[in-house]
Amino acid sequence: MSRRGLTALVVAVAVSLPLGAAADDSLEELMTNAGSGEFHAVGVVMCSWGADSAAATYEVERSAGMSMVHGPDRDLMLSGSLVAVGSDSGWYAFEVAEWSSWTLSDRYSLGEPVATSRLGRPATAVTILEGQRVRARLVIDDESTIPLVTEIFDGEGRLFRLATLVEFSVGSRDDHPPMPTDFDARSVMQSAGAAAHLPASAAGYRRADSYAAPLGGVQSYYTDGLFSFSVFEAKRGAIPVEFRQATRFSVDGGVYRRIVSPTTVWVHWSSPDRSYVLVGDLPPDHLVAVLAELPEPGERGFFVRLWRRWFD
Amino acid sequence: MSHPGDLLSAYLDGEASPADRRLMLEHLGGCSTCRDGLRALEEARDAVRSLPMLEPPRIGRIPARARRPSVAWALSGVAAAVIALGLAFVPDEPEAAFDFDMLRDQHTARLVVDPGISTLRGPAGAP
Repeated sequence: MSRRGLTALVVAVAVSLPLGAAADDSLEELMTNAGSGEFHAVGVVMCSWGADSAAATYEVERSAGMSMVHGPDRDLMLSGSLVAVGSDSGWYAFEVAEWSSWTLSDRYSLGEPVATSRLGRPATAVTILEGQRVRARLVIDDESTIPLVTEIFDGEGRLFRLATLVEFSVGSRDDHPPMPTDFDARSVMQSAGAAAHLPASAAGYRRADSYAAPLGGVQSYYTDGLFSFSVFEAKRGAIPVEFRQATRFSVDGGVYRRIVSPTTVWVHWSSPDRSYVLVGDLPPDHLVAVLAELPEPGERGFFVRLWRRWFD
Repeated sequence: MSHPGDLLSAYLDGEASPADRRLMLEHLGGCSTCRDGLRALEEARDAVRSLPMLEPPRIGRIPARARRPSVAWALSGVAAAVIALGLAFVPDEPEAAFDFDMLRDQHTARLVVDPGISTLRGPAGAP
């Protein structure tokens, strides 16, 4: 979207709707545009979640419909439904075979846009409201419609995740590294039957798709159109080593373990029969509400443990 | 001498002292009541002694060796307790089968087909 287009959108929003609210289709258009355009950027993303915090720098190059993201521990190439992951051992790819269409929850709306500037460029600051609460604040480059700053707030209005570009240029560079065309491995994610233990929706997130997961598990992908998370479930087992030192927290008396990365939160828990891992970018208050509607943590009773040991 | 009472039984059983025996004989010589009583006691004793001897029934008797648990039973109990406690308190089966790099990549692969805030999607890390 050009600067003129973005300005027209902002004017239309400001004129046609009451202060502090906007039509959902304006937000849908904003989010769709945020994923297009050619640019090169270097950014910093950080997250503060209670006593846990994490930060990382990354570089993004988008051209010809493909994005290349250079992160601290790996590289990502995104092209349509293909995600290629680069590491020291080579490139491997994932591709989603089919997926349900994207819909944005009606609990979100656009707030009043404000003209500003960022990195010496004309920009517009917009807020994404959840009811009357500010859930996110974006500073969008007027020329490219790329978010230059993204702030996500928790249920108390505190900033808990921030992504900000520190270098930004529109258009593709001539010297960008070549994107891979051959992969050492390529996996197609096939749809699977919905996990019987998981609900069709949780705290405003709908289960959009289910896929077969590694090692016989199932991935259930939930989204409200703005945030998303996947729940992976498997046969109950001991706590994975990655989570043994993780932060413990409780929801409705159930105990969970949490690991925070700059852009995602990982949560592990076990019910008497299953073990679960949730990974997603949802805010802390959403996470609590979601966990309250998913299978709750629990230990096996004495006789159940005996029975499982002998006959499972 | 007044009537001897309990001394009759002792006299009859031959357990009275020589002095009591002498007094008892003098009294019996002049007391028909005590002679009749002595005669009744003798008849009763003879009647009891004439009853046949019976073996006590075995019902309700506990064999001597069953009152004390055998070593085999004790060992079996200990073994069962050890197994039960072991099964209850030994950590669960091997840790849950999650490959976190794969989970991260599968989530990312699904995530990116939806529109979204692109600048947040880059460096998702595995635990």
